[in-house]
Amino acid sequence: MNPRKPMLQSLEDDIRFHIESETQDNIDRGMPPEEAHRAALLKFGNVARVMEDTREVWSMPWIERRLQDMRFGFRMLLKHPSFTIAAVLSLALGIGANTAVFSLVDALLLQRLPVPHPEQLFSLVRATPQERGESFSYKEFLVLSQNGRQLGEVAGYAYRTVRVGSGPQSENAFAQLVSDHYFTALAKNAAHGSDLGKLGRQASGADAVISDKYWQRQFARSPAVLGSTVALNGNAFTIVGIMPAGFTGASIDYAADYWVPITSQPQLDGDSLLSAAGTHWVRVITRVPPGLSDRAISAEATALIKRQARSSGEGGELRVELENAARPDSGLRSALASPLLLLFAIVGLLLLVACVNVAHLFEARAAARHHEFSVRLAIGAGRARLLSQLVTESIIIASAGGVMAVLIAWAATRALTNYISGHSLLAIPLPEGLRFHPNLHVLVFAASVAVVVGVIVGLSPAIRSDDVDLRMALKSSAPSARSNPRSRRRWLLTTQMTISLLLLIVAGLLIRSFQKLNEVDLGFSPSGVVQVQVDWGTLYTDGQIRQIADRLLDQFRALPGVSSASMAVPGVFSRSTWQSTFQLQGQSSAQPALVDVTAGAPGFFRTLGIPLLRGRDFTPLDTRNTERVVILSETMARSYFPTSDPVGQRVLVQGETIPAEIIGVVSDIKLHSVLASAPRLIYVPLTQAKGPVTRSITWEIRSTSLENPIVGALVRQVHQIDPGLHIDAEPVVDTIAQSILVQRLAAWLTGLFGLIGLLLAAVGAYGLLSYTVVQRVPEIGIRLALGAVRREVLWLVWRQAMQPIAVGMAVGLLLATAATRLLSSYLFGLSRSDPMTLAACLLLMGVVAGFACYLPARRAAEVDPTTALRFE
Amino acid sequence: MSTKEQRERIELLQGTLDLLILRTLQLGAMHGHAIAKAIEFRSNEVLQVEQGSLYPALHRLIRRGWISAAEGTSENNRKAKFYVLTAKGRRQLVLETSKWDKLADAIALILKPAEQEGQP
Repeated sequence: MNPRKPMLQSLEDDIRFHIESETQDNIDRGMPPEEAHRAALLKFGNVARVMEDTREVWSMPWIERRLQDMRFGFRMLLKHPSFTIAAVLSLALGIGANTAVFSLVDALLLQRLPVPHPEQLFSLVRATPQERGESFSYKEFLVLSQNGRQLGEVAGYAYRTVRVGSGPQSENAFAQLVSDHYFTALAKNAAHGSDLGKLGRQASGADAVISDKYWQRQFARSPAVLGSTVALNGNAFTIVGIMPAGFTGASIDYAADYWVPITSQPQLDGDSLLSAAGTHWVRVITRVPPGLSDRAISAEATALIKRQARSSGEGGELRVELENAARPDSGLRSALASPLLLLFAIVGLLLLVACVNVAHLFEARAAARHHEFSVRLAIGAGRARLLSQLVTESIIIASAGGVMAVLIAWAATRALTNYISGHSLLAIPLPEGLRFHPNLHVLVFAASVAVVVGVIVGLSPAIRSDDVDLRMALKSSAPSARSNPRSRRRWLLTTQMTISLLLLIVAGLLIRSFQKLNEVDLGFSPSGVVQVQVDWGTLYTDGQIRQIADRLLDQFRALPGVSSASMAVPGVFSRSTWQSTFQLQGQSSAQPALVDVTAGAPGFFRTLGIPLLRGRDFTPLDTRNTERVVILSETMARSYFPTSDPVGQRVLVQGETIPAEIIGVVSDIKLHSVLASAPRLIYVPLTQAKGPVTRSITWEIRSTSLENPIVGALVRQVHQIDPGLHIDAEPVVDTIAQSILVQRLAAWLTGLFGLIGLLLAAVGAYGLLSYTVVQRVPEIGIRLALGAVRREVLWLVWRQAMQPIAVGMAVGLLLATAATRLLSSYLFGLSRSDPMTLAACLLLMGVVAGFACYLPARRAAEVDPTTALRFE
Repeated sequence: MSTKEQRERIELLQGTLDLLILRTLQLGAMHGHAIAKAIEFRSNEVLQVEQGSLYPALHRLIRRGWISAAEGTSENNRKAKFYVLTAKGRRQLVLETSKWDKLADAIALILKPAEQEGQP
C-alpha cells in the first residue's frame, strides 16, 4: 500500500507542532511572544515550500511534473496559434515526407516474408563465369531436392500468368507453380481447406490453392469455393485450399492468386519443360535448419548440379551460391532500391531544413519569453525544470507534427502508388506490399523521428535559456543587447540556406537529366504509333495465328486515319530481347557474334520512321521459300564493313548455314532503353524468322490522329475475330515514358521536395528577419530621427539579412559540388556540375530569399521614428 | 538563537542532512523539533539547518525504510510524531559514516599542503 496519504495527513500538524515548540523555546529564552513566533517562522523557512517538497518525496514526481509541463505547454501553445501552426506545419511536411519514403523503403527493402523464421530461407543461385541465374532446369531441381543430403527443405517454384475461365469473362491471374515441399519449406499451411502437404502428393492431379485476397475478390469469401473447379489456361483445377491473409508467396512483385503443382507446367504452357535440360526456369528455395553452414550446402549443391549438368552435356564452370531469401524476392527492389535510398537521403535533408525552421521559431519564442523564464527562475524553478518545460512544449509540437505527418504520408503514398499502378511499372500490377499500410514499423518510425526532433529542437533554445541573466531581465522586458543569440540565429539561417540550396541543386540536376532523357534521339519517331499485342492463349496453333496476323494487318491498314502499319518481333521497347548469331560468310571457323535481332514485316521502317540509308526494305516477295535476306543497322554496318559497301554481301545469321544477303542499311535505333546506347541490331523478314516468334508478334500502326480512338478501333478489330482474346494496345510514346518512369518519379519527387525545402527556408528567413526587425525598432527609430533616409534603412536591414543567406548559399554550392558526386550514376547526358542548372538554382534561391527578406526590411523602413522612440 | 557569527556558519551539503538525522536518531526516538535542536546543539551551532528542510528529508528516509514514524507524547504532553531508526537505517548509518569518513580524510589530505604552504 502507498503510505503516502497517512504520512502526509499529519504533516501539517507536525509542522505546526514544530513551530510552536520553537516559539516556546524562544519565549523561554526571553523573547516577547510575537517576536518569538516571527523568529520561529524565519528559522523554519517557507512552510508552503516545505510542504510541497515533502509531498514530492511521496509523489511520482517525474510523471506528475511532465503532466504539469504538458498542461502548461498546451496553454502556451494555444495562446500563440500562429507560432504553433507554423511549427507544426513545418514538422508535418518534414516528417511526412520522411514517413512516406520510409513506408516505401519498409515495404520494399525491409519487410520480411510473413512466414516463421524467414531468416532460415535461402534461394539458390546458379552462377557461371558469364552470369548469375536465379533459375535451374527442372531436372537440376529434382536432383537437388531428392539427392541433397544436407540441403535442408528444398522447394522449387516458377511464375506464370494464367487465363482463368474462357470466353469474354475470362481474365488473367498470377499463378505460382510450386513443388512438393514448397509450403513445408515456407512453413505455411492453408487457413482453410486441405493440408498442403497433400498438394504435393496429389501432384499428378490438378489441385490448386488460392490466396486470401483472391478468395475475397473473386469468391466473396464463400466457403463453397473449396472443392469447386476452375479452368486455368483451359485445364481443370480443383480448389483445395485457401492461404492465410497476407501470404502471397515468396515474391512481392507477383502476388500469387493461385498455387498449382509445378508438374502441371506442361498443361499450362502447352509445351513441357520438365525434361528440357538447358532451359532454366525453376527457382529454388531452401529452409536451412540452424547449425548447417551455408558453405557446406553450397558445396554439396554445386557437386550435385555439376554432375547433372555434365550428364546433360552442359560443361564449364558452375557454382551454386546461397542468397538469403528472408525478404520477399523482388525485381522491383533491385530496380528501385537505389533511387529510393537517394530519396530517403533527400527527405532527410528536408527534415533538417524543417527542424532548423522550427528551431528558429523556438529561438524567437524563447527570446520573447525571456522575461517569463527569468521570473520563473527567480521564484525558484530549477533550470532543469525550465529545460524540461521547453522540451515538453517542443515534443507536443513534434507529436502534433508527427500525427499530421502520418496523414500526409498516407495521402502521399496512396497518390504515388495509384500513379505508379496507373503506369503499370515493370508491366505488372503494383505489388500489394507497396501500398501504404500504416503498419507498426512506419508508425514507430514517425513517432521516433517526432520525438528526436522534438527533443533536439526544444533543447536548442533551452540551452540558451540557461544563461538568462536574472537581474538584467527583471529590470526591463526589453531584450538585452547581447550578440550571442543573434549570431546563433544567423548561423541557423546559414545552415538552412546551405541545406535547401543543396536540395534544390539535386532536384534541379535530376529534373534537367530527365528532360535530357526525353530529348534523346531514339532513331525513330514514336509519336502517332500504337503497338498492339495479343495474348493468344493455348487455343490457336502457330499456323492459325500467322493467318490471323496477316488478316489483322490488312484490316489495320484499312482503318481510317492509318497511314501505315506493320508487324515485328519484338516490338520497340518491349521487355523481351531476341538475339541471333552473326557471322560473315567465309569466316565460319570463327566464333559467331551474338547480336540483337528484330524480325519485321515489310513497311516496318516506314511505320516507325526509321530512315533507310542504303538498299531496300523487305517486300512481300521475301518469303520463307525465297533467298534469305537481312538488313543491318548503321552500327552493325560500320563495325563489320568499315570500308566496303555492305549491300550485296553475304552473312550467316540465326544459326543457319544458308547465307543471307544484306539488302539494306537503316539508321540506328534505341531498341529497349533510352539510357543504353543503340544496340548492334540486324533485321530479318518475319517470314524467315526462326524460333517461336509467332505468339510474340506485335503490330505497329501509325495513324494521323494523335488521339486514342485509334486504340479502341484496333481492339474492336481483334475482338471481331475472337471476343475472348486479351489484347494490349498502347501508344509507343507511353511505352517509352514507362521505361523511364523511375527517373520521372525521382525527378518530380526530388523537385517537389526541393520546392518544399525552398519554401521552408524562405519562411524561416522571413520569420527570423521579422523578429529581428521588431527587436531593432528602437535602433531604427533613432537612425531615422537622426536623418537616415528610408531607402538606406531598407538597404541596411536587407543587406544584413542577406549576409548569412549568401554565406549559406556559397557553402551549399560547395557542398553540392562534393555531394553530387554520389549522384553521377543517376544523371543522363549531364555533368553533375552542369553550369546551367547550378546557375538556375542559385538564381531561384537568391530571388526567393531576397524577396523573403525584402518584406520585413520594408517594414523596418516604414518605422515611425516618434512611435519607435516612445516605445523605448 | 544562534550566537555564532554569520560567516562561521556552514550550509549543509546535499545529502549530509540525511546522515545527520540518522546519527541523531541513534540516540533514540525524537520528534522533528528535537532533531533540529539536537543537530544544532551537537554541532556547536556551526551547522545551520533551515528547520523546514528537515521534513522532506525525514519523509525521504521513511520512504527508504531507514526510519519509521509513530505517534507519541512530547515532553510538554502534546501529541507529536516521533521518528525512530529502523534496523535497515542502523546498517545504513554505519555504511554512510564510513563513507563520510573516507571522504573527509580524502579532502583533508588534499587540503593539508595548502595549509602548510600558507604558513610562514
